[in-house]
Amino acid sequence: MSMKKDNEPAPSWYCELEETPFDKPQWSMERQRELREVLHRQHRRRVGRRHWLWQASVGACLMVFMMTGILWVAITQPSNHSAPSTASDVQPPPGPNVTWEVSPGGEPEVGTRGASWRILRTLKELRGKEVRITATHEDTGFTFEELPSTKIDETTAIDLYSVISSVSSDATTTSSFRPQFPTLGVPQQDGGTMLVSEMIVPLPGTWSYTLYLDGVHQGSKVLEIEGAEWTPSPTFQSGAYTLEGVEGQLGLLNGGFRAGQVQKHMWHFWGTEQEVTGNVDVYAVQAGSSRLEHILEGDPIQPGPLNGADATFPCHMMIPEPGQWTLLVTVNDRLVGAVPVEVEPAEE
Amino acid sequence: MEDLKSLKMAAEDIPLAVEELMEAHGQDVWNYAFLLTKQRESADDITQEVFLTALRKLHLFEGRSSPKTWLLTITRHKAINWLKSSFLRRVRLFSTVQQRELQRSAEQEVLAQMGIRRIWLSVMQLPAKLREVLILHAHYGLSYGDIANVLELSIGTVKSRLYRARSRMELMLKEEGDVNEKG
Repeated sequence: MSMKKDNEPAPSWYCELEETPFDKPQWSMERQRELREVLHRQHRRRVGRRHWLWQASVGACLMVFMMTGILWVAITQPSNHSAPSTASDVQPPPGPNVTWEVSPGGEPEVGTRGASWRILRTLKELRGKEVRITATHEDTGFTFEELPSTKIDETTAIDLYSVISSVSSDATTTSSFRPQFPTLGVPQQDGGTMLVSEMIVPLPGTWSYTLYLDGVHQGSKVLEIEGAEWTPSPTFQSGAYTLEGVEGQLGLLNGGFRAGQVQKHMWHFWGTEQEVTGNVDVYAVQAGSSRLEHILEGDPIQPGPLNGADATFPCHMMIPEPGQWTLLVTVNDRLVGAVPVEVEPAEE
Repeated sequence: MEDLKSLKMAAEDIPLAVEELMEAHGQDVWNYAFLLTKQRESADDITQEVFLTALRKLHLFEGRSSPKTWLLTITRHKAINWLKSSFLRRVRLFSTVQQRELQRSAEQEVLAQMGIRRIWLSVMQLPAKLREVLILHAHYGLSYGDIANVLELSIGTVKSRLYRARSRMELMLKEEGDVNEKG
């Protein structure tokens, strides 16, 4: 052994451990031969693919070159029967092209805030477009769908121009959406198209909300949420069990968390059939830190009433370190709720 | 072979280099996978995966550790993944926990059939955390620094785990000795 340990007197049995554990080698010659074959096969495939990729890219470059040439000839050739193409015909690159603002409800604290989103375009202009809003926690990078992709129409959005013109100067119409703290975005002005979302803010810190229209980024707004002490989850009764979480939304039948150990738990969900169908992800965030662990990845759930909930999901979860954590649960990347849990130190 | 500069080479030489690594450290990798997972089949599969990973990643290897330490690190990651998924498979298949004693004796039986040396039977009874640190130190002869790298722990933790592993071993060996004397 060339790299021997740092100075330390070794007990007698230690030397025995230097020898191989088995009387004879256990990794069979057959498996070794097999591996050799696999190695060479894989290598040939990789090299072959690289070669093919290279050929394909050279081919693609040639094609582009030829096409450009043809196009250039077509543009520069004088033509009698069609208007000459000019640069002004080219569409501008996709980018932010609407102005929007968000008015979160309540105090800027952790919890379910509710928010109204106002895009300064008429519903007529926006009808049929897909709107999507994402929320990102800057410290941990945790991201979820604040508003999953939704088609804008009369059932999903409110046309503020028509509301305001129909009640003339009565400004109280929109008072139920009046923000308790300042509106982020453009200066107040009447009109626009309004959407609402639940706006669950599960963690203190800086949140950035990004709006997309038909997949095109329309800019972000930042929201500061005041830090709050980690507090244990409220409990509630459902069926025969006491659950932790948010009543009528998300419940955890807590099997007890011990650091580094996989334990069995059961999640309970409430919601429409659509809301409780999809993939569940669970993230754990350590209180007072930016540590984010993805502890359950995309397991499918289906509606199925049990213990008073609309859907349940038994699973195994592991949190690596003891202390105070908050579990964030998403279904199809939509945040369902947050459940603070206490993790006991590992058993020795 | 221990000098990794010899591994910086043209693409066509990579399989040969991996084969060389395989010859030099294949048994070590297999043993480590086995000592962690306690299963022959998983050790076979993990060993294969380790060298296929080596084939893909050899060009990224920077020679900051020895090739052996590098391979053992890959082995450990694969073994942990295997253990995690097999744990879930087991738990899902049998909702009730298997009887521990029964499991242990079957395990000992298999180990004995494989011709495992006596001292290693005791090592295999250590909890995984203590076992791996003892194996890396006593069997693979890694330094504290290298062990800390492989296990992604601080040197202090490595030392304290090693100390605990040794004490447990001493205790087990003493108990065994007592039993043998009586017998």
